[in-house]
Amino acid sequence: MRIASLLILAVGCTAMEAPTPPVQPAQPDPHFGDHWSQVEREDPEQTWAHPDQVPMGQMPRRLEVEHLRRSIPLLFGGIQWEDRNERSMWDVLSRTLGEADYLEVTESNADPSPLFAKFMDDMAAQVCGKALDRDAHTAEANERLILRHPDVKSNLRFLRLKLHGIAVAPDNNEAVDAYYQLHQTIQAQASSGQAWLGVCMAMLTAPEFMTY
Amino acid sequence: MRYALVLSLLVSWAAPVAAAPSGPMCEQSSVQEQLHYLRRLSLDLRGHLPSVAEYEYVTQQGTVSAQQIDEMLTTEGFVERMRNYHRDLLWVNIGGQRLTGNMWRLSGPSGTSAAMWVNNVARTARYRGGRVGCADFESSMSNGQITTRPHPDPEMAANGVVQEGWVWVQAYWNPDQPVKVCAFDAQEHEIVDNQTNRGPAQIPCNNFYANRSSECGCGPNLRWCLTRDSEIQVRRSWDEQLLRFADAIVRGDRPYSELLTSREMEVNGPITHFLKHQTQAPGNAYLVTGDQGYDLPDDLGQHQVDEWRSVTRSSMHAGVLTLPSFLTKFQSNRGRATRFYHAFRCEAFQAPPGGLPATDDDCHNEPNLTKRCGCKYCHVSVEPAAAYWGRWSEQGIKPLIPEAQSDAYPAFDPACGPDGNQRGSLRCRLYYVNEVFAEDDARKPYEGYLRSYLFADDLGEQNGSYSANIESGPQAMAQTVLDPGESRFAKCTSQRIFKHFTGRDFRTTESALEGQLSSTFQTGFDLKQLVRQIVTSAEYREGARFGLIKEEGGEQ
Repeated sequence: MRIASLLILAVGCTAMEAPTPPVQPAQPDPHFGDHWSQVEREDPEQTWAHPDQVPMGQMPRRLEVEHLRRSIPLLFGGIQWEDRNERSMWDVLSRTLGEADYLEVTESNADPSPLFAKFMDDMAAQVCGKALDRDAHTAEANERLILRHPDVKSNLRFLRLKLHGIAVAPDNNEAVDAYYQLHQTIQAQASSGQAWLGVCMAMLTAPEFMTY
Repeated sequence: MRYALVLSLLVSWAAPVAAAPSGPMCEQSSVQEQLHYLRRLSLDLRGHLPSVAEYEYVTQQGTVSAQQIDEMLTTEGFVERMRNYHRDLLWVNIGGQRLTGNMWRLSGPSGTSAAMWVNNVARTARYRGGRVGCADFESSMSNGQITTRPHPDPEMAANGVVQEGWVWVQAYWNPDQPVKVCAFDAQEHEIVDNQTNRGPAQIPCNNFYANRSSECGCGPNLRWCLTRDSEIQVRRSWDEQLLRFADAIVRGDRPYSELLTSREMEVNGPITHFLKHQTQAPGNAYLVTGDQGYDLPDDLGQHQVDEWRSVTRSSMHAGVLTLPSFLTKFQSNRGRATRFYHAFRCEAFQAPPGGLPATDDDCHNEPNLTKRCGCKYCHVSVEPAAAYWGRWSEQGIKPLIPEAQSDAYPAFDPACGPDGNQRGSLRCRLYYVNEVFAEDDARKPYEGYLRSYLFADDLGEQNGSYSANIESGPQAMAQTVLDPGESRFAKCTSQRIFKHFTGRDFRTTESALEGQLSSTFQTGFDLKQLVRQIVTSAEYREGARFGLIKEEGGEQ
């Protein structure tokens, strides 16, 4: 079951390394409702991602809640995911997100379940929103959390390294094109700030961020 | 909704992106592989993602250096990672355990009391004639007695129910902020006259005699009573104590075998206060003792939650195996042995298929579990292993010291034996085979012996006796797995740590690596060396993120 659930995250390999530009909204396939994508599991081009065919040692693992609890403040200048009373949502939702309490549950659950994904959407929305608000009041570019470079693609390269650990060469547009298209699409309909919010949320909820 | 538009666009964007054709998209440069390796190392060893500067450094250098790995192993992040490992290994959380009875539990003001009080029928009946707290006025004394007034409810007053006022007390849990406490509950007498015709003429106020006099309260600074919060603090402190115990071994690069053998330990304010002042309360008197086999510091107040002092425990103790959190989490000796087998031998007790006969089979009448059908498959191992904790109270943390000036627990106690005069006492019923427990012929010969001795000499010709395990204690249990001959601890720890960092068990093809890791680990129980070996092994490095996977037959 865990392996099957990991597949939900694992299918993003192609998107991670060299995503293609998005085509305009396609109707989601109703028979498959994973969080990020529709996948034709029988597609021979993607059978490498089937758990049975992935060597044991190479199965991706979802980030632990503890990883996220510690990483988010480091990535975002101390910003935490909190509720209205400034309690850490990692603690409030500890059991829901799969952490063992050793009273009723003695084994942590690292399945990337739909419930986990839903809360990661919430987390990304709040954290990215706070980070952009802070950036808006930070004059020094080098101290900004998200908006480090005025050039969109340069900034996307910075975020790919910061959030995904993927170094994108200056002459490689392919690896940032998908995010660039997303940015442009949102900006055309809303604003630059909303565009970067969308990019940040997409990156924080992407398999490249959530697995290792 | 601020994010509504963004979310709707994200949904429409995500699908076509992720569904893009694969082809050679997963090819990676060696630098990218190193960046993934760095990311994985950082998450595994420090618990968080690398910084941009660290990524850039590796990009420039082209590789993750051994020095970077060593630096990660010396961070507090690594200690924290191993803390999580130990929490997982020993299920560290004793939340919910009650540490005392209601007679020693102070609760806040309520509808029936204007100040903090002990809402316990035995106490309140003796103080006030009914189950009510105090009234809302400052208490006064008259002729050395606490002044009382009739209860405002006429019916209760007619039944003799009275109420006293409250007093300000500097409670032990917060000396800086006095609290209002009902005057009877706040009394400080150590020894008073017994107001009943049962027991001695004079009684101490800090133990189960306390409800025999209206002059017994919670003692100076309320020290004998617990509040909900102070009880929680003791439980949390015991959990923290175990984790700090493991932290110190990791942080100090001490041999990891000390997890099972070290007698060094730390105590903080809540633990010290509890052991000094609150172990005589009903429910505690037989399960906890102030004398745990170590000296408690004199300079720690209960409120000093974050102050920890080192103490050295007596030779009865053995690493985590006798820490209060472990003993309280696993309350029976069989439970303790089972956890030990699981955590440090990587073995579980499991009957063979078809090993359990039908429940109505007469063979179930055999009282000795090492011989009873079905049960014997596990209990022939469980009973000898559990016996190592035979001198520790079950459902408690009390060492059952054989020879002590007071409260001694000899292997055989005539007072609890067939002709003993204390056979019905709580002490005999809790710790010794007594007449209730020895109701059948098989148990009769053991009457008056510590319960752990039951059948301990009767494993049969093939398996012999395990009574020696009781007296040798948990430290001998530890030696059974540390022994270089069998190397169970080294093998099991290697397996567990490997799985912790790779997310999988050893493959059958990796027996050479498994053997190398455990044999190296056995030589000095160097945990960091073990971890370093694992994270620099090809097996770990090849387990990089799925994005780096090459199709079968493809070039790396």
